[in-house]
Amino acid sequence: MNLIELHSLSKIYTETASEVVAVDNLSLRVGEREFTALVGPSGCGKTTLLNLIGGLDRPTKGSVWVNGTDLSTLNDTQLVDFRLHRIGFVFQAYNLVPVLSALENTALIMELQGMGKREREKRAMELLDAVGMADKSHHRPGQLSGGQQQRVAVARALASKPSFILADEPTANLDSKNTATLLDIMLDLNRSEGTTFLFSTHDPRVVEKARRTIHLEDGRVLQDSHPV
Amino acid sequence: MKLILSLAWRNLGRNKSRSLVVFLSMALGVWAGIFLMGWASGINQARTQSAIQGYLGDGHVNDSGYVQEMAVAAFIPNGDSVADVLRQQPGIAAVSARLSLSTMAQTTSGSAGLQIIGVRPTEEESVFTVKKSITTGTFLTDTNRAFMGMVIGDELAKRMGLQLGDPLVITFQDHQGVVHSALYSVEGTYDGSSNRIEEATAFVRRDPLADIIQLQGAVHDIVFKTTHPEGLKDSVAHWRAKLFPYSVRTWREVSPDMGYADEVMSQALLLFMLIILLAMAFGILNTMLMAILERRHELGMLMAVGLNKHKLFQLVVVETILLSGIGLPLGLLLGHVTLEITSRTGISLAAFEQGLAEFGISSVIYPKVVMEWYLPVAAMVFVLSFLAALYPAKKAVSLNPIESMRIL
Repeated sequence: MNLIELHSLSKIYTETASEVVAVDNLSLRVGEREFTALVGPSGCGKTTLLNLIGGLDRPTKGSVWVNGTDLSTLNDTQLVDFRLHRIGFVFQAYNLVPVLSALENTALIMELQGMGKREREKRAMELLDAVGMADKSHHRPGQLSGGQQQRVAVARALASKPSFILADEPTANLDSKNTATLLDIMLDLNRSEGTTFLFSTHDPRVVEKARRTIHLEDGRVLQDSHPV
Repeated sequence: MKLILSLAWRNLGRNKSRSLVVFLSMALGVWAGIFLMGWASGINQARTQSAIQGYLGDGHVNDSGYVQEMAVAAFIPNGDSVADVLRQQPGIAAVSARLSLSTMAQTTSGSAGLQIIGVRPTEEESVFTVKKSITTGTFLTDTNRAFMGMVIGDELAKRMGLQLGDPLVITFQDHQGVVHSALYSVEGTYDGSSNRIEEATAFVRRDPLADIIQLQGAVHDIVFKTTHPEGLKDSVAHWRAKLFPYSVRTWREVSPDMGYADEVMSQALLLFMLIILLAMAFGILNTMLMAILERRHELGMLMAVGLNKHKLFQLVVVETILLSGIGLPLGLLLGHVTLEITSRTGISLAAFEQGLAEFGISSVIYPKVVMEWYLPVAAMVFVLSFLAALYPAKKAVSLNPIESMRIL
């Protein structure tokens, strides 16, 4: 079954004197349990595409279907709720709340979902353990390295048991050792938990690990290693 | 809500110096406001008490004609009997039945308009503090005198160059229009509750004055002091029935300006406090706007992962209320302690003694602790904090997650 379906998707930004086509009539399917990398040069539309799939932005044309739901039919409030319950996000950097500990950051999404304290703390600890951060559960982001912060971000993205995780350049600010560690964690979660990952990158080390690679250029799919 | 509270509370610690500045400014603002309210209230209370104890009394019984014009012909013929009936009423502490005449006083150095109050000294002393305010001579107790004695105010004595024993002649009309003149001598001088009173009011014995105008037993004004001033309004309603057809009025009705000042004081002081807090609210609004601008990336991220606008709005409002609210208890406590201390020790304004005396205010001010104000002040802080939070909260919920996350 296809988890994500994009039908003739376009996103055009209108600026004062010109139009910028970020995504150009793009159609794509992503299945369950995939570990897929969106690659391409800067400005090719990777982040825009992830924003459209994540319901953070609305397409100019075409439609985004996630788990059988057409996102264009949801209003802003419904989209927030959809993101909260169905999608996990990992951003490039600075994506943890600085005043919360690693445990509280991980439990944040579950708390927003209304889960009880005991249950969410138990799951948050399990997730931190899964990303190798259990021993730093009470550290605040400022006390963690960039790689450790991204591992907590992955744990947080998994907290809501989402259909899939969208990660925008998750290793962009990490050194090679931390990049390798983070990728291993993501791959392990993909294999053991069946979590679908769709991430953008231009890091060859990340591309190597991806099972499916989609090359974008000028907002279109240039090449797809394993089209669905 | 627990998450919102927890996040809001911790956010206060992100910029400690900024939060501390807001905290201290709120505490100082509330302290200053509470103290000034207590100070102004103390002045007003002192002025009112000074007037009640010095010349106004708790209430008056008069003929209705006297109420309208203070006419000499508007007397109570059986004044002593009416005063006796009033004395029998529960709640009456003391009564003084007086004659009151508008006169022209003449001395070797000049003349002045003078309101002569004819009193029985013991009755007058039971209602007013006039005996305590005698500065020279006696309050109509010297029986070995060649002339009838008169007690005049210090200001009048100063203005007309009068000393103890100096003669002065008063000229006045009685209730039938007959003009009388009488020779008095200064028996004493008093320090009244205001310079205006001291210049315009003098006291003489009632019975000799009544003999001159042939109104023995009659009075113009029966002044009373009650045992429970706080229940005055209800008591007066009861006494009106007993003393019909005479007019029974509280001091507020006798001196509406004094009563009005007392009534509007609380509202005026709360309005004053509101202005202080309003100015502070703009400072808090600015602080929160800065905080929102600094945290755009984080707020965008939170919105992206599922924090809805309703909760984000709550977060900003709660953070603003916490920011301003934590200074409130300290401000109230400081204000209360300051008032408690100064209400006992008083604050001396000796340098302004003469000016204050013009308004009937003592040079030592005793600020008043009014705990009923604390709740309205606290409510104002919370309401204004809420209002100050609305604009930053609106700014926060209108953030676009994608654009906000681009800002590092």
